[in-house]
Amino acid sequence: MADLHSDRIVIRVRDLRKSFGKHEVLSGVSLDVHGGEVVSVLGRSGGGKSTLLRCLNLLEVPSLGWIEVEGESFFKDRQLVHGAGLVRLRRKVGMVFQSFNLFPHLTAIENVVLPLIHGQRMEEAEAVRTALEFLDRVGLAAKALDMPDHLSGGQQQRVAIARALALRPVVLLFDEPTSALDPQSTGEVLEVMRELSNEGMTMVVVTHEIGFAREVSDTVIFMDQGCIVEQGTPGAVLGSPKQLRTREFLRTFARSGADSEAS
Amino acid sequence: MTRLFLDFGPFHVPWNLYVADLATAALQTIEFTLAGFAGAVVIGLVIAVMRLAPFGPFRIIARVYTEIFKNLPLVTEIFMVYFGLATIGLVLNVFEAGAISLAVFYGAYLSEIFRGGLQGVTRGQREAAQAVGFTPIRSFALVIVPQATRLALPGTSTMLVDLLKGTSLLTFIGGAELMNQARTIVSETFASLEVYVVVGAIYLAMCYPLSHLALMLERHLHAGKPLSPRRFRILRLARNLQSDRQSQLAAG
Repeated sequence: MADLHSDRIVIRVRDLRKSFGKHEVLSGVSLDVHGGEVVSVLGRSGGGKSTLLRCLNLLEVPSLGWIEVEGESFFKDRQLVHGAGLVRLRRKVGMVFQSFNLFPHLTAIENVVLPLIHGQRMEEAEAVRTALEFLDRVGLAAKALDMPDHLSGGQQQRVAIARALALRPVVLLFDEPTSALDPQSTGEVLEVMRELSNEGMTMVVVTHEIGFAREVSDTVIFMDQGCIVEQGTPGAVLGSPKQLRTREFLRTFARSGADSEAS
Repeated sequence: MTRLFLDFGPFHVPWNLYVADLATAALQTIEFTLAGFAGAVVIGLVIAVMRLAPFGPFRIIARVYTEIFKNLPLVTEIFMVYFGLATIGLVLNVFEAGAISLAVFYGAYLSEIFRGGLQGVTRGQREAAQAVGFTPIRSFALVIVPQATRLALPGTSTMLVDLLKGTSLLTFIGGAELMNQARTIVSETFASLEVYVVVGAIYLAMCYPLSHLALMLERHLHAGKPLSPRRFRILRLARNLQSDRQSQLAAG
């Protein structure tokens, strides 16, 4: 799938650092994400994967470094965009969370509609029509009027994907999107993500699903202790990892049986 | 006493003579309740937001306010506002003094309930609101406040009922509400047990439906039913589109 993505760089990250107190979680990460590229980020918990992802839409403010989205700089050497700039970044960079984070006081369709009305200044009728289209894309048009707590975890996550997607972001970030799900729901969500990648959506996915990373991604990144240890095609990183730490990680993963394909 | 008893059957008090007065008094109780509660909600919101503000001095002011007014007896506050303020030239009429005392006192309690509601909205919700590109004001209005409302509703409705009963203390400054009327009737008939039982029943008749209404509102909100015209519109649009789509699917 590597041939699908373009040379256009959507996200450019340079020497990104993030510390919580004295503890450095990101120790200088550099990364380019191209248009249409699917990047999977693997690694142990606490290795900095989620923090990296959360820095990309500035939910987490980096300590140092440089983040550029579509050529526009949003963070450079402690200089953070504010107000309108920050909101503009969030509209370019969509995010799907591990715990879905649907707004529980609103129906599925309103979860998709409200950001369209308030973010995109879409008028109500058009926003509702658009939202239903996107719910249909994730196979949930029939559940549009259900409250989130009446939906299964997998359905909630698919609504969350529709909510992010409807804003037509240039890149979608997934923060362990299936970690809170049972196997069947995991399958549903991964299927939706696979379709998205086929349609050419640019995605950065923090995941423990090594099978998914192998099949769908163009690039696999292995992170440990706040650094990118290894980066390359799925075949290279997962098939014949060069670094000892990557090999160890993949071996423990296979042994723990967290993913049957990760042998 | 025997004569009175014979004159009015099982009742010692000629209630027919007092119905109009009681109705006026009940209305006054409701007016105190509405004015006091409206003020308390505003104060409670402001103090709760200040309490959670990043700016230190705001937090301190809010904390001091809450601790002072929560920990003084309501009667003391009523006397301070009505009699006390008059001595420094701020003369308030009974209604103003009553409503202000109630607002100030219950505002302190409500601020704690509202704070709990606001803090009960998870970090994930705030992040999701940011991630879909809501401005901070929109996040607050569209995501945080509605959820905090759901969390704060039980406590808030309890306080509303408590406030309604609290208006009875305004009899001490001659607020012409139910309790004051009750004391007048007692002074004329000496039938204190009967009068206070009847007035108690009136309070109960006012408070119970209020609690019940609050419970219904809670269920309504929990089921996600719309209250605002805008949500009605959006949901109607969605329902129509959805059924159009289903009939198309059935046809095609």
